Amino acid sequence: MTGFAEVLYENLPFPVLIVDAQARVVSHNVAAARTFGWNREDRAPLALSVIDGGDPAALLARHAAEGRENAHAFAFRHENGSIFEASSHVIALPDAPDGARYALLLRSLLSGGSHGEQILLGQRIAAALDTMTEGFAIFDAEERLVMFNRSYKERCGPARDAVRVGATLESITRANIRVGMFPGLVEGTPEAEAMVQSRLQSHRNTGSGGAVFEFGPDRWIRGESHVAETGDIVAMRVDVSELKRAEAALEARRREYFSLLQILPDMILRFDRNLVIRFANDKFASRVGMRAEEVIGRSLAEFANNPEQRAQLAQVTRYTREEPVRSQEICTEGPNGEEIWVLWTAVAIFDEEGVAEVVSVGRDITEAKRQQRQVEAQTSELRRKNEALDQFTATVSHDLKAPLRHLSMFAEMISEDLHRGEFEELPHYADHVRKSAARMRRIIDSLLEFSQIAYRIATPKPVALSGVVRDALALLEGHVEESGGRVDIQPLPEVMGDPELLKRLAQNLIGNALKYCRPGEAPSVRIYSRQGLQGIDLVVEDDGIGIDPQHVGRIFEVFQRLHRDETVYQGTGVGLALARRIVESHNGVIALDTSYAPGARFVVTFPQPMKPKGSDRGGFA
Amino acid sequence: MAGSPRKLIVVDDDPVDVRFVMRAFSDAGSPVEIVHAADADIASDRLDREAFDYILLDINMPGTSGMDLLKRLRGRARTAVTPVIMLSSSASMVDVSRAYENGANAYAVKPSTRSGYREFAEGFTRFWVDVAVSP
Repeated sequence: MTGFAEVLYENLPFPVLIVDAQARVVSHNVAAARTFGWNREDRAPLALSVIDGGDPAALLARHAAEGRENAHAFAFRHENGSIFEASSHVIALPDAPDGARYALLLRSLLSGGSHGEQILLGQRIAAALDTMTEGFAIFDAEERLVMFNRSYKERCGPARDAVRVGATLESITRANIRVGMFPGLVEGTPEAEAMVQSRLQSHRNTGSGGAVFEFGPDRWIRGESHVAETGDIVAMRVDVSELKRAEAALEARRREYFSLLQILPDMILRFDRNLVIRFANDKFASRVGMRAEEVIGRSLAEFANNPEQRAQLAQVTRYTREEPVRSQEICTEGPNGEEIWVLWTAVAIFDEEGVAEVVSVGRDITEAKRQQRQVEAQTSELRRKNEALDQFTATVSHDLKAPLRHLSMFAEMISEDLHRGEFEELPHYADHVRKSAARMRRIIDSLLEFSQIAYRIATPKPVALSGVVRDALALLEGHVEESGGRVDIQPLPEVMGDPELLKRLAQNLIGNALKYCRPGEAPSVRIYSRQGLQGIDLVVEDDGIGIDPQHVGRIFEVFQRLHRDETVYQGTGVGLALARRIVESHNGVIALDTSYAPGARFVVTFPQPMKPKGSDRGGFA
Repeated sequence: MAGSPRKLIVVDDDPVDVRFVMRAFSDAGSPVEIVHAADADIASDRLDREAFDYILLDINMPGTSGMDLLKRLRGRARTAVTPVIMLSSSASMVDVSRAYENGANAYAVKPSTRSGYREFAEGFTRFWVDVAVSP
């Protein structure tokens, strides 16, 4: 063999054997040593036929005569004694000095293969790899293509011809850019250059799980690279378009869902068992004056300042599997001090450890609340009007009829006496007529005064009770002086209401306290306030004759008088009814403290002004 | 009707009305002896101490009402069956029914004329004094 032929022979990737006429191995190349197991120490071809079966000489001579282009099946003996079938070309070597010589070029393994037949196996693997839909390629350490499967090549579409053994990854990538396999990338632009670098980077970054890139119209490829023991880099190209499309659909759905959460007029909040906020929509975020991203991750405690609410909704332990839903109406103060009502409904989601998350929805019910209050106020106004009408009917039937009857009687008596010519009694009768008319006028005036008080104050405003009481006392000055009494006034708070009406209320209560004193004793009246359970109490108490507890039920009704003799305790019986109406028009309550003695103690309870303490930041607060 | 005259107590806070009643009985020539009580509590005390044949009772009075007094009287042995005749300004059916429910024997609305009072006094005398058998 010439030097060149020798090198070629030795380095051919196919197993080549030179055998004598009896198929005994004379020489073999490296690939053959691998295939037959002679490459290990102390292993060399045996001194017998490498071909199994009788008369190998005849077989070789016959196949050699059939032409070197035809491959024939032979049963070969492996070094370990096993037999494997492989196809082989048989080439007669003409210039052998000592008898017939043949070159056997093994093509492909047919059966009985063992671990030694890698080269033959290579072809089968290549064929098998071609059936894969994933692209598969092997690059050597210099990033030159060593082998690839059909899918790897076909994937490159118009650039498929750039995929050939020995081509570099960079040249293949550039070819793909040139033919437009990377949508939107134009050759020579910085973006294209960046893509080349990114592909190379990803290729070199082996074992990282790969990178997904768009490759061809509406196709997405995940490229992975792995290092083989030989130092080669195995490149895989997996079509992930379906996955990508599913992902895009999922993302679209997520966005849809997300926008729905944002469009909803309600505030939405999700927090975990540690009260860390996991999600908040824009509605909630804007209520607390933040962006949604800023809210997420914070503790609910930062937003729930209302202790009642903390107990109700933010106490995770309160949710049970049987009762996972809790709701509460929460009132907070808006930026302009107005009341804002939010109905929060929270649903707990459980895992094996208990409450995993709470999803809370807050609906602004300020308007509904306002309407509800309006209806309540109207209902109560209607009820009071009905009661007043009933009282009015009773009044007309009892009290107004009496003076009218007297007028009629005395007029008749005057007329009779005149008819009879008797005049002595006439001045007396006339006096009765006058008194009856006066009494009737007083009753009608009282009724009018009573009925003119609105059932509800149109525009309540802050009123200092001290000022109101002072004004009332000024009006009662004559009475105070006349009675020689003393009125002691403690500092009084502010309430919401109508100053004129409150003055009349004070005038009535203080007037009563002065009026119903013990005969011969100077009245002593005390006025003070205290914080009650239901609101602010205004107390007016005296040491006078007091009120029999059995009459408590009637004292606030119109024309209920407890004292017969009008000359001693003057009045039409409208004073306390008037007081009650004024108090009720302020949404308050008036009561006689029957436990107090001696004297009378009236307690007017005004509702607590609705002002939440602190500066709640709305929302879940 | 020999013996002692029949005794009537008129319970009414209105002195004018009481005068009309007294005058009517006198005009009618009724032999009844009339005592006036100006409110329910006074009447209650008096009726506790003293026996009366008839009680003429107003309803709408300051303090204890005539209706409450009626209930109280019916609860006492001395006045449990004494004829009680209500004489009130009210013609309301509610008052009328309640009065009978609470044990009144008759109910009349206060007249607006002298002749009305006279008829009342005459009718009262003819029935309660001349006809009815006292308990």
